[in-house]
Amino acid sequence: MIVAVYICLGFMLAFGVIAIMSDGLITAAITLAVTSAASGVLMYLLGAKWAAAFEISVCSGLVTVIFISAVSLSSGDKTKLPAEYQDSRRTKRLPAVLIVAGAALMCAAALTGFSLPAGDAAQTGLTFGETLWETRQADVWGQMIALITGTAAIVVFFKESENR
Amino acid sequence: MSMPTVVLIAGLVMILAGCVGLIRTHHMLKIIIGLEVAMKAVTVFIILGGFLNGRMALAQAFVVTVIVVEVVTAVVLSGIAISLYRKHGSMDIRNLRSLKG
Repeated sequence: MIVAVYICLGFMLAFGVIAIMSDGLITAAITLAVTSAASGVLMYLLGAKWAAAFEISVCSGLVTVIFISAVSLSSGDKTKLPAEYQDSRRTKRLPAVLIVAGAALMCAAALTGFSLPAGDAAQTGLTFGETLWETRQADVWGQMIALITGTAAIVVFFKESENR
Repeated sequence: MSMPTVVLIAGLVMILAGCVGLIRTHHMLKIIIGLEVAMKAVTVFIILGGFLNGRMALAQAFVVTVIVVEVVTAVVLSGIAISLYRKHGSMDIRNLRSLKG
């Protein structure tokens, strides 16, 4: 299991960096979907099965569709974007920065003796359904309010665009 | 070094990558992608917390809320990006400086 966790972590990090460094918007959206899928598998391996299902279906599926829709709604010439924004040039030092930062954090943890417990604590308390519907009802209401607010915001944006 | 410590360090590195993405690009959709990358690490941190203290159900309930907020943020920011494109013909965030009011 630990090897699988490290592989998922590596995929998540690598594809996240590619999403940030890539010049193309579609490439960035697809690599972000792979990042989400890898984080979903990582959650599943850590024992969070419901969260993994949400992550893979919503973040890896729906968010990618939103990005690709946004790209297709902007009807300009996409071949000029790399020259216009130069994202790969502006972020070319990112892998080196991340390797140095990761090595520094590992060294700091080793020098100070910092280490989280190995985990696998016995799972206690209520099930996911009982927790969500009985003890975290305020969260469910908050989610509904957030969804309604998002919908209203989109309606206002597109109404303004049509009026203009 | 234990597995949760490695996950913690990798998550911190990923948040750094997301922040660099936020700072170094001017394209609105790429900024949202940087934000999403950082959010992935945050959701993994919440699950890691549940894994360590044995309250995975609570951690999953929080993650579902975070995912909903993440999607709403992505939708609203994409809407702003499209409005920006229709007004200025580009999704360059520097165009937001021309807003008044």
